[in-house]
Amino acid sequence: MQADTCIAWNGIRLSIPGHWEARVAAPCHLIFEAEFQPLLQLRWYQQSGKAPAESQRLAAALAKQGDMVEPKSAGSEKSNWAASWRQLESKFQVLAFSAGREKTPSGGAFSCPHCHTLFHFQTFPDKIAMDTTGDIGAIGKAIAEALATLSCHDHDEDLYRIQDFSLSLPPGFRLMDYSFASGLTRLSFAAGKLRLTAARLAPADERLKRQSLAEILLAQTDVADLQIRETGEENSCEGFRDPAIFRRLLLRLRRDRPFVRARIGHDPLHNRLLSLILSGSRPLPAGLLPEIAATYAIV
Amino acid sequence: MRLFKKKEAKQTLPTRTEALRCIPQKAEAANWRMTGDGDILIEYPLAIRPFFLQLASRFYPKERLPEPTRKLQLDRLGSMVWQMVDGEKNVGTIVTEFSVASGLTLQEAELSVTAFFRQLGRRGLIFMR
Repeated sequence: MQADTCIAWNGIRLSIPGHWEARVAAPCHLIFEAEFQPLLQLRWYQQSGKAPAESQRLAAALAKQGDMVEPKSAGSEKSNWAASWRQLESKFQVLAFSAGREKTPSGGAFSCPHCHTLFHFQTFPDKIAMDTTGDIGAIGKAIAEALATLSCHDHDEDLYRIQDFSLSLPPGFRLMDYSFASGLTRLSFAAGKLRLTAARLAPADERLKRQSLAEILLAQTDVADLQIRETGEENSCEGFRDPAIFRRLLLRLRRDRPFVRARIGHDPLHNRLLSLILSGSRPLPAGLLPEIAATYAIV
Repeated sequence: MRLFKKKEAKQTLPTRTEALRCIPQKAEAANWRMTGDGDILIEYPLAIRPFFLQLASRFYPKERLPEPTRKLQLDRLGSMVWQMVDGEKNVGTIVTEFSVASGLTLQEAELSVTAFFRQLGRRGLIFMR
């Protein structure tokens, strides 16, 4: 049996069994699957300061759905749900569970009483049980235990940990875009006028046969006047653009961010290239990129 | 309203789970060999339109009609997947094995292998059963 894996994405964290795979379907929508069969999908709605009514409206709409069971009965001793599902109630306010099989709900909604994040999940344990002659109850229990580890607030760092990489960001960075293309994973973040792009390229040996690290970094940043310098570490290099005032104005007129700092590293053990590109219209904080780069790794 | 409108045939596409259960098989027309670098070179007949075949039949006797072929050189990863196609393993198994062999994650491997099979299928080099 594989150990549990921590998954962190866009403000939430949870532990899932090691043989499960997490897939990003949307910025706030994860699908967990085993043996290419979906087991659980989880959506969440983070409450923004301006629209608390929106999540309340969603919660009310979910609770009103016809096949939903009253939350109180879900938590009571007479409830049909397995005990593992009641663990959720210690952390979250369970709004509703929908009818399911073998003490496993087919879906449900719950919200965090502290940060008011609203979660909505759907389970598919019967599909995998049918294919692998597995036990619905056991799969349902694993799903319930994974959901019980869910956390959505009071994190020390903004962690992104999915597939095989881990990236920790200082507070203030928001996920803007992402892509999980074959051989190139890219995440884009924004913090005020700063932009950060984290990319993971694979397989590194194939790419390094054709191009050097500096050439790959130049292609990634798409900045022709990027100045490359050695980092002092083996298997990595850095590039930067710190233009003079006239060039700065010219770049601003072209709606280009004048200040760029980028770094690429080769992880020979995992055969991956990890790159970070930080850009902004004002001078970049000196220690920011090395601080982020220190947390970006293959796990 | 058009009275004699051609009815569109309903296309039922397989789901992802069904597609991953399909077993790819190499087309008999595809001749392949391994080059000195360990890569795979596939030679397959080029499909000629009937009009051009008719035109060619006017210049050549039937038994000497030209049979043009096209060559496709696969890279290291493509060659790895091609060799995994043995008519017994399904796409899911090939994805898992390719993920282990290439060091890619399962999701990356799935994207690469399915895109590769789509390309080969378009050229008539493999078919699914």
